[in-house]
Amino acid sequence: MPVVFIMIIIAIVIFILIGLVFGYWIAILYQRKRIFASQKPPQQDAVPSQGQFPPQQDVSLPQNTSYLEDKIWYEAELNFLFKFNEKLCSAFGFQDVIRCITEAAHNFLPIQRAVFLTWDKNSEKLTLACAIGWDHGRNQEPLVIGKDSISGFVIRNREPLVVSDLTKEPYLNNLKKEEYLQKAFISAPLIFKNEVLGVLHVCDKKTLKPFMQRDVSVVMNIVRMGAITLQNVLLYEETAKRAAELEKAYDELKEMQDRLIQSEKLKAIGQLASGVAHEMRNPLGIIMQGVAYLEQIIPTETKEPGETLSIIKESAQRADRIVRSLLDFSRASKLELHPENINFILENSLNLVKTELKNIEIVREIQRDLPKVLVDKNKLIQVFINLFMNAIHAMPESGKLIIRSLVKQLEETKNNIVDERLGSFFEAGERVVIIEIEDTGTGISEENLKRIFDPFFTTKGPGKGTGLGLSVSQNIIIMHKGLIEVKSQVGKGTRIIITLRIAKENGGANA
Amino acid sequence: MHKRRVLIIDDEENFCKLVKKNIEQTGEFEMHIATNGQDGIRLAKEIKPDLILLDMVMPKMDGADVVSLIRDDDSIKDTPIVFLTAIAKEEESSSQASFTKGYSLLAKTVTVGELIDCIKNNIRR
Repeated sequence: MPVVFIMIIIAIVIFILIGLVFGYWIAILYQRKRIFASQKPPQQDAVPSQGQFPPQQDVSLPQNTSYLEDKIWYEAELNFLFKFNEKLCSAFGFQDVIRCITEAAHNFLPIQRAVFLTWDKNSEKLTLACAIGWDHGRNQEPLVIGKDSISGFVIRNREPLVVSDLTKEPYLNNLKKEEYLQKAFISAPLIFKNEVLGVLHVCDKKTLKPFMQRDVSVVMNIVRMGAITLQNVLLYEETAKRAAELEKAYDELKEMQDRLIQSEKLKAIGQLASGVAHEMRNPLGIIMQGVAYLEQIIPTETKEPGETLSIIKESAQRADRIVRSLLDFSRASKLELHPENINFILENSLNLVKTELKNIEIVREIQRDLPKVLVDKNKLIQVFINLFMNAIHAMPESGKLIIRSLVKQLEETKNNIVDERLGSFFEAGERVVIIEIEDTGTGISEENLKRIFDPFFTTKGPGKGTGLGLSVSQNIIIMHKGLIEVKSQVGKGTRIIITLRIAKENGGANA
Repeated sequence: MHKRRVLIIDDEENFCKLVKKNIEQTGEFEMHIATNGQDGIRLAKEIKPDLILLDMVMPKMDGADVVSLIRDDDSIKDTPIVFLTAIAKEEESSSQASFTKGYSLLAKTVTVGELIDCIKNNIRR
């Protein structure tokens, strides 16, 4: 009897134990199948705003059941995050990082769509930046969404939103539902140091299984890492922009300083010139009159004194040429501007140096219908003669002198460069006449090129050049609010480019 | 042949002397010299020159003053004047001070030939 009693008790205990094990197994199975109710993840799983990391799992979200499955999943997630991180590091530029984030979410999670929107806190608008699995249409205007949308809601809450059935969420009813959102989605904001950068939406599971805690965890890891990189890129772009602005400001300042120095130099020389010219030309006049007198009274057969006289005369004339060049500075302040045809002025100037051309071939690349430009004709002739003479001197044997004229509308090509011309001189869209005088002569070394516009800088032998020609020419062009540039290659030749504004009132006047 | 009278008014006495020698060499002119404005006007009234060579920059009375005094005097007001100057360039005469407008302007370093041509042209006018 007692044996039967004991056996019954043992059977009951075994039965209870089997029941407990079986019940637990059933409970776990049931939990696996339970659809993850649409809900915001709990507070502590929100995107960290100050660099705190939330717990990876929460009891209220569906869990993975098997240890093995968990292990496989987390290994895959770790591997994915490692690769994602690698990709982020090599991404360059804002758009590239966004593409990288969206692609990562789309590739790793079994979803149909991944959509990224950037947030502009000033306009409080979201702009579609990247979409995978959904086509907005290439030729359409950029998609811009207001803050009264589900994305706006996510940004306001600064927390991820997990929805398993959009139709069954009454608290989202009064929000605009973006067209790309599907029945189920996770929307996560990208936040870095309290600053919202954008929203990532991952929509609709392909497997039609519910979103689970591990999915949210992956999305959160993607947006966290993405936010840091995106912020870095923004900072980098901001720094680069500032650097470019600073560089531009520096270039403009330097350009202005150079021009100021040049104009001060010229002013000082101008003042000195008129004083010196007066004092120099009186004695020079006396010498030249004296030589002329002696030339007449000394018999021509007396060779020696005749030769001496001619040396004196040549020297006096040379000194007079220097005085004349100096005078150009003191006169440079006055311009007599009239609408002129640059082609005529070029031809006039060329005529004046005709006798010097000898073995030089003239090539004209002239635009016939050039608009008239407000210039001082005589001053411009002086510039062209100077340039022609320089070209001629650079081609002592033979060569080609190419004369170009054209009208052009300047285009912005680089940051601070307008059609290769400094932005501080001209603006994009401005119409200009360009005159180019090119020779196939000896060219100018890089070292000399820097000093070419300096007063008194010359490479010509003593008595052959005053070193004032280009300096005066530059001064004249600057007075016309134009630009003169020199491009040269030793042994190949030199090209002088003059750019002159077309006065607005003469913009359409054809010659 | 009757020699043309040319008066040179310039404070550079040596310049005047050499110009006189050079111009008189041609045998066509009779040169007179004044080394300041006042002497120049007095001499002009006295000899009634066919042409006056006038320096622009002179101490006390400069070229502009001399011109206005000459133009105010009926006996010499039509005398042709050629300006000689150390600072101006001849081709710039149009943009020079208003008192030189309409007159020939020569640099002091002009050649004798050019000077004689200019004198002849202005006397003929």
